[in-house]
Amino acid sequence: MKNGLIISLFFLCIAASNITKHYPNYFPKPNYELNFSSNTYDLTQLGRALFYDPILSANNTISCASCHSPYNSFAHTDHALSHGIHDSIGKRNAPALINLAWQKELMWDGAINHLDVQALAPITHPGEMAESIENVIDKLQNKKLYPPLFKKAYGNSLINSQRMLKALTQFQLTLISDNSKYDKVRQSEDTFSVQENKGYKLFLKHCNSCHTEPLFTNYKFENNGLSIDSQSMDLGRFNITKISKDSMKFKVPTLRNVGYTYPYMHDGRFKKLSSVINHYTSVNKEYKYISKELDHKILLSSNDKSDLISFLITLNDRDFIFNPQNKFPRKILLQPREISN
Amino acid sequence: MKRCFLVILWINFFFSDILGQSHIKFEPTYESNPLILDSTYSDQTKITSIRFYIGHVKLLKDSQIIFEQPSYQLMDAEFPETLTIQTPTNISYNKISFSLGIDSATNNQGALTGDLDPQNGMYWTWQSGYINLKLEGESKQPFTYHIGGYLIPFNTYRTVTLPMTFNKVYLPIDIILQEILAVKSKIMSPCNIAMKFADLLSESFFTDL
Repeated sequence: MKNGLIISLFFLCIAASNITKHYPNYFPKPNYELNFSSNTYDLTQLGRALFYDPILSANNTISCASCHSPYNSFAHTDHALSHGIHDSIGKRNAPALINLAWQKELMWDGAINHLDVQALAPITHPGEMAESIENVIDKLQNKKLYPPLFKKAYGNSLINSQRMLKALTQFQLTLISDNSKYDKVRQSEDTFSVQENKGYKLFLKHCNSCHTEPLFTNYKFENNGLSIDSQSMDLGRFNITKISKDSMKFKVPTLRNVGYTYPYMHDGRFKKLSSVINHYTSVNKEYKYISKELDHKILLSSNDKSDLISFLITLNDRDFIFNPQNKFPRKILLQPREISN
Repeated sequence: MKRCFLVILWINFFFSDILGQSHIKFEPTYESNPLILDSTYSDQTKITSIRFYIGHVKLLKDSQIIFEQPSYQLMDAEFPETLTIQTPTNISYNKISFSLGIDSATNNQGALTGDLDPQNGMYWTWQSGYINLKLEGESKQPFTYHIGGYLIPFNTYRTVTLPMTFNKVYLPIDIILQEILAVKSKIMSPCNIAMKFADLLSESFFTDL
């Protein structure tokens, strides 16, 4: 009888773990269906292998992870602008790839409408991976590693662009960052220090209307008063909509893991969080289409600025950054034969 | 030999009738004849490529739908077999309706396959969206028209309705080029002029009637 109870409890636990939500209950509903059950494990691993494999680039030197490093919350630290094949320099700062299931449009200007088709842009961009989709598929079909991985993920070894792209989507959807100190405080597992708490109040007053909690972005496009970059002359959202009020608008980035993702802004012009805050306290409001959220003057003392930064650091999610599940898949990509070579 | 050929032809017709197969053909034309790619016409114009998406084909008898094929087909003058849409034979109709290009909902569906595989070269990678029609060639100078865009105000998806009793829909490339070359020789993103081109294209299709 007792044994029976334990066994049924055991099965109940298994059933419960299968329907576990993959994000905290204070997160909104995601835009993509999340399925991380055991039967999507192989699809995730295929996507992970593709993400870290430079086979996606023309000369097999650049992978997605070249500009989206796990140690930087899948952003590109230390480089204002991301660089690609043959050391060419891009136009924008690679954003963090986290909590993508909640994003509607991708890229700083929202050029991409679905996570599936996002990878097409860097793969084919002449300054990023400079490869054709046709060649990528051809190379995957001819590398011994991939037909068995596709078979495990999809039931047969057919390799086409749709399967490659959907595997990349699946891996990227698993990149959920929800275990920062902020999250622990929200779940009553931790408390803010006095300084963090002061910073949080300042954040709610001055920043939250665009960098809206709990995802710390409203995913809208806003003009935050930055002067145009004289090199790239990047007009942001205007390039997509061709509507003048969208000139110089860029997507509001998430502030989660903000301590790991320097430099800041679409062109990486600020190296430090203090420079970002100084920008907002001295915004040039002469721009015609500047965000109305910046109508009120943001006044912060130097103490306030330190408090605000101490709160922003609570958005760092160390568990996410060091999660081995997100890292380079050594077991898959470094097959024993290749190591011995 | 000739008799053998006729027999084969007859068998072919006989079986296609039994199988209930017939087709609608989309025919790009130049100077009132079927278009020949890479041939230089008397006006010094050469078409090197014409590819376009046709979808949601409906054959109607008055206002009643007799036949419907909701999927999209990539038509490419280089591969004539792609220019036909299979239909049943034993139907009569007096109207055809179809779309030129890919609708907004399909454009938002993520990675698709078959005729909608981005590998076909009919998809913009730097900005999501299908290229509804590609027309390339030269007329004194090279011209490139990549017409697409699904977002308002540059939604280039068009629906065409024409009277029809036979099985051919013509697209007169020479007449279209005459108009557009006077305005621009390169269109490669969703914009106002792409919208005008999409209007022009959708008004240019005609049938025997």
